[in-house]
Amino acid sequence: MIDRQLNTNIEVPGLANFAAMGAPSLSGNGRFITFYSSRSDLVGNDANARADVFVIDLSNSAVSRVNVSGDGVAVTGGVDSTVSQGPVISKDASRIAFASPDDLLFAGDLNGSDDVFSSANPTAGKLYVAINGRILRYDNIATANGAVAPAAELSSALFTGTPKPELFLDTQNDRLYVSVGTSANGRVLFLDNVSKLNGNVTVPRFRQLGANLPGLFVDVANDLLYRGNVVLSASKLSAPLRTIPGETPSQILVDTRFQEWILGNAGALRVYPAGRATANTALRVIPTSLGIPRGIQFDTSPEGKSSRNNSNYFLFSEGAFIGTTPESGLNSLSQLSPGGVLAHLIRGNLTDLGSVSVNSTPGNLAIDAFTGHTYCVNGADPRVLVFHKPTQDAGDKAPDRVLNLSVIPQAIAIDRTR
Amino acid sequence: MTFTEPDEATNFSLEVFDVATSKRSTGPLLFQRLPGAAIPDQVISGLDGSAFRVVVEATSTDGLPVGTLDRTLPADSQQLTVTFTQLPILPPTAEIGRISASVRSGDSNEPAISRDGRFVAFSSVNPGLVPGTITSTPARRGIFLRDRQNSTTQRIGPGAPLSTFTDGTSNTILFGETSEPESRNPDLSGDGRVLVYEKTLSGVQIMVFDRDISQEKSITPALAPVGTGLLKATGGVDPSISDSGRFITYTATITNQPNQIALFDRESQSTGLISKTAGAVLADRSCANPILSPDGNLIFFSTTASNLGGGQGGLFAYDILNDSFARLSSPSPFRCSVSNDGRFVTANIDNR
Repeated sequence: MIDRQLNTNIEVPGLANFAAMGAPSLSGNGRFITFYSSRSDLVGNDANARADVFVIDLSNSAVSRVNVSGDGVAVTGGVDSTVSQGPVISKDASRIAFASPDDLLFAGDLNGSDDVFSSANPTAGKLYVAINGRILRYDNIATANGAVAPAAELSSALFTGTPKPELFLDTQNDRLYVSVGTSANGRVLFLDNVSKLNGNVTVPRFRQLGANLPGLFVDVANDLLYRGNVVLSASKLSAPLRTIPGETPSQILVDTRFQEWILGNAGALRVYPAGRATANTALRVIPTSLGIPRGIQFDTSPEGKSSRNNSNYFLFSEGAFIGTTPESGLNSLSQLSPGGVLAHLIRGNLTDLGSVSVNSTPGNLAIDAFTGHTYCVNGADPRVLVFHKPTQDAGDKAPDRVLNLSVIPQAIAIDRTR
Repeated sequence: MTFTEPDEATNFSLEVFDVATSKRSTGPLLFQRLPGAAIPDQVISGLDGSAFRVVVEATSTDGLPVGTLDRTLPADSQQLTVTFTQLPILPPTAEIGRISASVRSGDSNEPAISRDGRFVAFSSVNPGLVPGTITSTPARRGIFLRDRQNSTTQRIGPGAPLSTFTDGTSNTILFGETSEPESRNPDLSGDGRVLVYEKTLSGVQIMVFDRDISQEKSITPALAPVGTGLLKATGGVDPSISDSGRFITYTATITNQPNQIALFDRESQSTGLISKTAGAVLADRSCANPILSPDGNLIFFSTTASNLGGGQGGLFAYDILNDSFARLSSPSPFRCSVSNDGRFVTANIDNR
């Protein structure tokens, strides 16, 4: 690789012998190179004796094979006497496309011809953790398993007195929002260029709120920050643009595709129009006998359907689920066993695909938008459990990976674009 | 005969063609799987003793092709029974997706990917990528665009999705018929709106397709000013488009000249040749494989030319704003890849 600014050739550690490699494609930030190679010593268990597609993270020289099967576990790519090649990586480094005749890469592929595949970049990823006033950043968490150490401690005393801080990551602008405060004095802090910070964050920008409103969501495209039952400008220190009287949600979620603001309360979810609209009448009220929800997320992986009638995988960390119908959107909710259930999915015309049970009390959630993996805080446990597409598996489910942080996280957020 | 239907399939069509005349003999029979129900066997009787080609197509609820059976039966066939069996339903995955979903044979390759990975453009001879297609021989390569977010596949080109063929008695849609020019080697803008690719017309030409207006336009042949005159790029290969979709570079073929590097500005609709000296003398040897930096400020290309400065041949960078060259390496790479700002460049070393 050539660095034009420094006028030097960069040798890539681990790839000293570039023989039998070809067609490199570079991510926009210059950190990742994808290429194909017939070498069998770049990763473990590469015994197919065929050309494979790889990606290297130049920040740590970690090499991963890309042409692996999609079940998240088995690594069978390339055993079908084939050559995978022609890779290109998206400039945001999230996806890699390549051609391969390997019918083992995807279930149901029986045509024996070259096909084009798209894979999530198996490397990279940053995890942000809030814990007792500290913000920690862990790097390269996309495939990490077991004990991990923080790459940076952004602050050791950024906030105090907050039993449950919340995080929201704006990956587009590389900004981390941290909601902190007591019941009488809530604040939202801003950490800019958060992926590049290396400690010593002492006086971040912040917005003072009149109360500690639980729930945090930022609509980056419309520059709106949702905090509990109020909407503010995300970039300006202004008074709330809108308040919904009488609402005190414990969790919120904004569906930016359909501009709906979902307020989670014990006993009911109420769905309002999102944005600055002054309408304060709920579009829908979804009664439930569930307790206070502790996390609401939906599956935003691009591979998932985006139409209202066949998607919207909503997850509640305490095991509720929301169904969708083709015509009216969210309109039903079913109760699951409290605790011990990570997620439950309903799809399309209220077709129940089952629930996923874990032997824990799931807490804060974060979704890997590129793969659909769910990162789950596990109660008073210093681990983050990583589940492979929990919304797609029924029955008891063990985590696919565990990130042992050695601290008990209060809130988490992940960035897979860096 | 048995057709194994993919789990996504809900709608099916069954057609029988006379091999000798390519005329439709039966069908199309259209049927749908009701929720929870199996598809009954389809029986066609009264075949007249010639060889028949049977095509079964399966599409999903939203019209996407998910399965095809295409088989020729011997001339003594008198009755046809198609039995449907269903593949086990497997959970979809996000780690890896099959962009060119088709059960028909036919290679798909040459992928290009949008800035955020939502769109993947590729070339293919596979006839099963969009609904309602029946292959002809020889198949011609076409350009396709997969939208991963909306799970749609679009064939790119004039009259999209397909050209038509009328045999006098029925209207049959053909894929890759001999009148359909071959297209390949796509690239796309960062947002996936604008595609560029090669198309074999009168020579290989560079085409631009703007999805917003569904318009395909050839940017070659083109006249480019050189010195006080004009040179005609008769065609081109290896197109590359900037992230914004404004600039397109390609290897231009020019009569009685080595291949040169051209730059087309979609805003001004003008073409320039950039592989020339300050004195407007063209590169004295061939140039090839140009790549635009995503910001559109730099063009990287390989050449064996000796008159562009810095020595003979290698990887060159052309600064569009400053109209200047820099020679980055002495070996002449096949093709390179560039970071957003053009600072980092990887070059292909293909020693297979």
